[in-house]
Amino acid sequence: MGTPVKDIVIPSNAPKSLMLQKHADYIAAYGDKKDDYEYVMTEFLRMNGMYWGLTSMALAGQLDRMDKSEVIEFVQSCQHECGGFSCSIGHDPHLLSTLSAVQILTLYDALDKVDTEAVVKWVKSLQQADGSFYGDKWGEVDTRFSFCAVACLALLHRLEELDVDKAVEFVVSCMNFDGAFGCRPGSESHSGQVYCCVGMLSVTGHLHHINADQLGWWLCERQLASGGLNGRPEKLPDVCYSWWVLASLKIIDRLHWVDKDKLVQFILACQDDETGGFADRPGDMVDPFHTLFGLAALSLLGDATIKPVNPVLCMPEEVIRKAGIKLQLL
Amino acid sequence: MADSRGPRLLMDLNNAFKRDPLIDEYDILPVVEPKHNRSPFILENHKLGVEAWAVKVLLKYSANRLIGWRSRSPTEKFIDPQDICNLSRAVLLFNPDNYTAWNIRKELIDSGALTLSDDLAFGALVLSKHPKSPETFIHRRWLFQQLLDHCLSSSSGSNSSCSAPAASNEEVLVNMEGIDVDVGAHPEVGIRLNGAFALESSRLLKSQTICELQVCTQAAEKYPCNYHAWSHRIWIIKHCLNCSLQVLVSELETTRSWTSNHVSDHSGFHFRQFLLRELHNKRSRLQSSSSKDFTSLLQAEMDFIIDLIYSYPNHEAMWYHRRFIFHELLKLDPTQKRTMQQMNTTNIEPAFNIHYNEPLGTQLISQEICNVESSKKSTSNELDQLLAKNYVRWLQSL
Repeated sequence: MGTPVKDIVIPSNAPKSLMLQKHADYIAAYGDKKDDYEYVMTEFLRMNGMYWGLTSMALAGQLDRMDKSEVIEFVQSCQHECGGFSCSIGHDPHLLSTLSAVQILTLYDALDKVDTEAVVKWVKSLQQADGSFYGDKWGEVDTRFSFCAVACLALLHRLEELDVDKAVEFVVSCMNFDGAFGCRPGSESHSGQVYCCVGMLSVTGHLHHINADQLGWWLCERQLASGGLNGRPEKLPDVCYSWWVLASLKIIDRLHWVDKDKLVQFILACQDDETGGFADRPGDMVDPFHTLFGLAALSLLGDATIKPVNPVLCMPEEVIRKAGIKLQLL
Repeated sequence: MADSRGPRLLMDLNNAFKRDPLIDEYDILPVVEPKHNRSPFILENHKLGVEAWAVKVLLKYSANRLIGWRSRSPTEKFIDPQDICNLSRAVLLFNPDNYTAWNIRKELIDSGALTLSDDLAFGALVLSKHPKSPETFIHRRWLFQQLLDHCLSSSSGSNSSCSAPAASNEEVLVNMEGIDVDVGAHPEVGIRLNGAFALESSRLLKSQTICELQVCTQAAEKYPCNYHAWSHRIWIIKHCLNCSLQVLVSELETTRSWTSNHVSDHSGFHFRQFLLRELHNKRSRLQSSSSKDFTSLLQAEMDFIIDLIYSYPNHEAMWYHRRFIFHELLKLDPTQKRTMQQMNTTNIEPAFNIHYNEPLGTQLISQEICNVESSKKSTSNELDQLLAKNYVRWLQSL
């Protein structure tokens, strides 16, 4: 008995060329419906959502269409006394939204608009004796938070405030026999966690811990017949993994191991030619999250109409260069 | 825009839970417009249905009030803890990754307005509808950490020699060895935390831990490759069951049939990898206490997966599991490797050349490649051929 293979077939009428202007228009109009049920449902992701949208606009070269002062005012109003940022006004501070806030402010060269000293102190306070990081004061540990912490402090030029060796030691302890990484020691390998761990080791200059051939092999096996990439064995392809997997491959210098043409074809097929924006898979609903990772992946794959993206911080390369941030690549 | 129906809907929801505190499942009914003279809540046989239009109104109303209260908005300054509890319930049933709402419940627990068992039961209900909600699992780990801390403080209170936290922690956890874990068992219900918490805490931790394994199984059943459910299960085994030998062995037995019924679920196989690695760490105690030998466990796992691979072709998850087992085999010491090799030689076709003067590891790799090549001939399936080819290439890279 045949089991259906977990992959998709790209419809013949799926988009085949990049509709950059439509994506920019989609993002520019996104925040308009504030009373919507959807708005309430996604509020716990608001700060991340703003980072996705603004970075998409920056990669499209249209950041000036967004209301800078409104954005900065929002970010300011999300900083808490402890120094951390919440996802939205009235919510609790968390490392995930704090990194997004710091990225947004870097994008606008506006870090002086918030109390960065307090950010540094707070991030520092979340590091544990084993080198891991809590996501907030309640004590959850995850390698995603290790990435958030070092990325934040690197953007603030204060990486030396952390116990970097311990932080690296913890991340390396989450490496599995296949060369990939999970959320905690002994956890299953997952492409999203791989990106965080590889990114963390890049920010701290410790990529020598990685077995690039072994990890590159595991990452390349994420490519399916449709050209799309999945996050784990026997999962469906998804545009966001085009980013997590591809960026990791770029950092460890194994980008040439995937079939680029087929991947580009898959990503382009995930555009909505009416509304603009990218979905996880062809024909699904678009959102800002998949729109950013679709654009960023196409940028890494060499699309010259999109600005070059930094594979570690998922921000325009020129912003990272101007900020003087050094990141290790193999 | 405030919707005047919000307060009424919240009251109706609260009443539903009052009428039946044992609601064990809920869902959204696809009714987009209110119907005259009909309640949008349907409660039957411990199942709650809420019409879609009502969910929208209820969520907006509850989230705005709850977050308004959180941000000390002048209109929401004074809300009774019980009402906060109800508002956060209304929010989390439909928006389970609203981490601030879970944090508010943590504070309600700290202040005594909500019990740990009630919140664990509520989270289990949320998982019945949202089996992969990361924030729900994160909150549960916090709840279990509270239980562990309570046990810790009660045990160090009763035993003055255990002043160092690590030492007393060890003691509590070692006591857990006695638990007979049966993932199908029903836990005791209705244990409530009160003033006598410390005395109850150890018993509560035990019953809730057993229950938690069941919660993980249900979530894994509802959503395939459920990363959050399986990594939560690992956390529970590590932190609440101290990776005890008995638990590891029992989990290895009970998840065997689960994985053979879910052959494309890599997360399930990975959980067995976690168990096997922990058993490897404890292999000498395994041998002395149960006369089980790690090498034969590993060989049994290899036989198990090879059998599954040939019964259910086309599944990458099983080939990845095979990689792990083989990788573990290579880590064995020479005598054990020799045993493995002897167990295996009967399968080898004479046409394949094994060079017995090569290092043992290399011989095992050649032997495994032979095993795969010879059985590859029996499948004409394209994907399976590819999976076998990828496995061989992986073996060659070792």
